[in-house]
Amino acid sequence: MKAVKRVLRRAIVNEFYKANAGFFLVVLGLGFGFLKAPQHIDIASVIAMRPIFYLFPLGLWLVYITKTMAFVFRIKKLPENTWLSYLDLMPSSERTITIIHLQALLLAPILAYGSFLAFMAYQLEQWFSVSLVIFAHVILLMISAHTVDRKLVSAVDAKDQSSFQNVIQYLPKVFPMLFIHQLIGRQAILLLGIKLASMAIVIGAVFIYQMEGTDLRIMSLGLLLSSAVNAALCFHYHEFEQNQLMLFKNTSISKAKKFIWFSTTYLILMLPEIAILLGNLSLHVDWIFLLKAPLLPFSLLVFFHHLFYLKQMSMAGFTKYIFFATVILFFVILGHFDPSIIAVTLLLASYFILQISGQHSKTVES
Amino acid sequence: MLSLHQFEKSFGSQVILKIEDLSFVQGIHWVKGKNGSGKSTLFNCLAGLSPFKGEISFNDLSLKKSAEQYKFKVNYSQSEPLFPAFLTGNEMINFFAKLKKAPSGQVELLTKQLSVKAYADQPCGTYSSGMTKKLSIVLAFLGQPELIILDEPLITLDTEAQKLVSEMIVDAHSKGVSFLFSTHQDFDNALIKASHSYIVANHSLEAEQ
Repeated sequence: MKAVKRVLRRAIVNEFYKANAGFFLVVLGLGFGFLKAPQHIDIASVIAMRPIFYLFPLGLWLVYITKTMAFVFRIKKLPENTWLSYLDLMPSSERTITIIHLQALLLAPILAYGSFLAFMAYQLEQWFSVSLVIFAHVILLMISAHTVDRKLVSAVDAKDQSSFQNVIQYLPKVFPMLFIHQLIGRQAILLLGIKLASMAIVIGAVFIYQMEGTDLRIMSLGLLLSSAVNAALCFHYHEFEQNQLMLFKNTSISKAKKFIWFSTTYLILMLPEIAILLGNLSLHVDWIFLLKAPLLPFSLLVFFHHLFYLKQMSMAGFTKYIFFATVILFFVILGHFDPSIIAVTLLLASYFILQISGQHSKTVES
Repeated sequence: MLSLHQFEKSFGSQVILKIEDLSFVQGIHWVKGKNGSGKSTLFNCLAGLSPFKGEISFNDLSLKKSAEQYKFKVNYSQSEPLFPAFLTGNEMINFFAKLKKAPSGQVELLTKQLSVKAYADQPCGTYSSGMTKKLSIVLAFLGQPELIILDEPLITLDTEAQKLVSEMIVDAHSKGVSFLFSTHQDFDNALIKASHSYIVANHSLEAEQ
């Protein structure tokens, strides 16, 4: 059954990590950038001494498990994955082991951190905490594996729309809204996950700024990280454009108009984060900063979108660009560089990329 | 024998098909119907890919109660098949060959027969619609099926491939395999002679005289 396991690993595990590369980037940045190893050891020691505190990581683990299951549920509904329904042809014991193995790979980050928590409790000879952590992780793994197994072998309709279908019928069907229709109708869980993570980062940045009170770079860094999370939407917008908006390429719509349309989509997608900024900071921060602040994540998303006109990329390849752009801009912002200048530069670069894209084929045709 | 009892398929509140009782005996069955009449939806249900209300069974093996045994005996090729762009044809073939317990040498024979071998090590995302269709037909013949459901089996195939697929159908039928296939156009094939024909219309499937 090596052939079956290999295909499942590539189709589910590899795709999960590729699709969530931006998410992991932010989690690693926050979890191991701001918090250093001694602080993790301190936290694990405190939790080991007071097991009730395990509820906190458990809550985070449940959010992560929901994310993995939502991913599996989403890919199972894709028309190219109908073959997953044939998994029930595997002998049940072998299938159970395979699915537990797959789910363990999906849960690898939390199982690894769980092992660290158990090890710290063992070092402190807190045997109840050790058993609790091991038991909780095994239970989480088994329950999630069982749920994933049921979903993979069950019959589903690719035509089924999400339960938000009734809501989106009232949204206008103009070009900038088409991708939003697609997201809400077909990828609602993905959108919700990205928006929750991104809003959590912006809220965190607002909270830190309000505690600290003077350094606006904290807000800009928060918005930078939030755009890294939102960048996954650029990849999906590109896929949507390639697969379902192909006919628009055969129309005489000007590139300037397309640029405005794409930008409008990203502006709409960033509205929740902008609302958080305005809602929390309008009384404390200069209004010029409030006007300029949303420009950075917005322009980054527009720029990431236009990168696909320069080069065809897989999600993994695209993630490298997001990673390096985020790291570079992180230090640029720390160097007191005005984020609005970065934003204007990115918007101009995006417009330039769109203008030069497809020029080669035009020359050949003419 | 494939049987449907109180079968109903809906998308939300929209009923697509309702079939009280219907049986397909051994043979080659041709299902006709216009675009959007529900042929592919019916086939997806018969293959166990889409949920439905009612009962579907093959030689007394219920699709709902004994999905594993049912799917060993009933194979399927979709009208416009899709596979993950990053997986190769070989990976899909080996996946199905293992699950369907394909006899040794069958993969080699089928991939050679339909000239799939030449491109099977490339990712599916690089295939044309005809190449994808041929891969899907190879998968439908893998194992030891007793019924093969082929949704629009000849569309997107070139004349040579159409002839090869027709020959494979005739050959498998001579060995006792039944076929259920659909077309939305009149089907005039010198090799395949359907023993029964049906029409999907008015949300139902009815046998033609």
